[in-house]
Amino acid sequence: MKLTHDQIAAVLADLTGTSAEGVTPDTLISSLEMDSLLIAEFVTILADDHDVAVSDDLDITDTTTVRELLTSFQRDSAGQSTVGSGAA
Amino acid sequence: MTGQIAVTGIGLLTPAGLGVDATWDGLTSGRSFAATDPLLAGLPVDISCALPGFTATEYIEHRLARRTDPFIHMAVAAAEQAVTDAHLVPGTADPSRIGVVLGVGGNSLLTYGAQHSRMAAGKFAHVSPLTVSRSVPSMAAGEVATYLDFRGPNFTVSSACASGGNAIGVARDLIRSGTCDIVLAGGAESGRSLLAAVAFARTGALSTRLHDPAGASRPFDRDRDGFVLGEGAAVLVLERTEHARARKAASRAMLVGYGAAADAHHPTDPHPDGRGLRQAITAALADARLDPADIDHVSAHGTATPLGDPVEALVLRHVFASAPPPVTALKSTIGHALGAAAAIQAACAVLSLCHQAVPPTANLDNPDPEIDLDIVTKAPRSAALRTVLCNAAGFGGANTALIFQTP
Repeated sequence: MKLTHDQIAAVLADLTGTSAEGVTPDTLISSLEMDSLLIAEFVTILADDHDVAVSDDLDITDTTTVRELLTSFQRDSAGQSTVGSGAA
Repeated sequence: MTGQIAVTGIGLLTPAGLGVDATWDGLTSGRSFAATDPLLAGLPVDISCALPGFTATEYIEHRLARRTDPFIHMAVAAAEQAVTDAHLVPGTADPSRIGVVLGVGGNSLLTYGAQHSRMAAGKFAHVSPLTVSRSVPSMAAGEVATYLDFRGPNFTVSSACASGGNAIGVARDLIRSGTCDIVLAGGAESGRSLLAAVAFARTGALSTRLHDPAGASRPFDRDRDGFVLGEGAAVLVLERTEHARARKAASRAMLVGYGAAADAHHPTDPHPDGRGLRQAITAALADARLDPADIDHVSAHGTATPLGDPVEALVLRHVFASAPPPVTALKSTIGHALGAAAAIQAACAVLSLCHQAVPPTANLDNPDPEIDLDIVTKAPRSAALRTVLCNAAGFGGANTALIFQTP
């Protein structure tokens, strides 16, 4: 099953307390003020609830957007995420 | 450094109510708050005393609620209530000299149970990275300090069901030693998890009166058969009286005595003579420079286990000789909040001093003929209360006694 923006937005909203509607494709992950543990929890929820395998060392930079994350997850649901490497 | 220690604020979340006044109203109603618990459906024991309508995000921010377990929610919420009650506003005290010491009996089995299932299934990547930080006992005090920006000593005391008593005593010593001006002291815990419910049921310590949840917790009653799992938090703001005076904070009560002692006897059973509890009470009396006759009321540990209640009664008869003061057992109404229980008792003892009344023990329909105590039942009893003794005992043989006095 292909991961959708709404699904990612819902998880991010649940973790951070922002509204899901407020999480747009252009939202910077850094703007959500997630520390490394919360990022890891985000990855775990994607794995657990949406069967998306993501590398534990997911590289999120200050400029990574929700769109880039989604593209990366969709490209490689087996976990070879390239987010943050500039490929998205 | 010497000087008296005042209680300048209280925060309290119990099954009787979410807050100091709501809890007092619930306790004095004389009814039990135990009920069948949907969370425990299908388990051998499916009753508990739960906080009524507690929604964490009504008390703390969403992000903190999302990444921590209920005992931490309760601790932070109770701490914030206590600070508000104490009028402890920024700028009136040095945050580096405000400590937080809480009692928590064990790891939060809510998270451990769920995450262990994933681990056991080989789903290692599905184990939450928040498993540790949301559930280890130290996080309650840690999150309270973070939330309130209190930067003094911060740690958790764990002595099973005496944890809250030890936490308050150790907190008192931090002030006495001059290390802190103020310490937030208390306890927080929830016994409402699948693993805790089953594990405690397997020890035989829980009441199995499942057909009558409200009648299940029956301290000192002939038909008692164990305790009812509960949950909650209590936080006291302890403060040097001079410090309280300087910032014009009112004192609800004074903490005048603390004693702690071990049974050194058995993992779960009390010593048959109650030697640890007796030693703790004697030490608290000596610490307070009071005689037994000076105690006006005893808030009993009173778990309603067949073994524990008679031992506590024996100790009270020994310490107080012919005239033990009026006794109440709050676990009859609010169940047993484990590591938080002694702190909840302490907070309620302070309320007894404020209201000059002893809340009743519920379900004492047929007093155990072997237990010869003046137990307050049915309705609150008005009394001239100057001092209250709070007893606690825990697995491992830990015992504590705290004595509070009117200001």
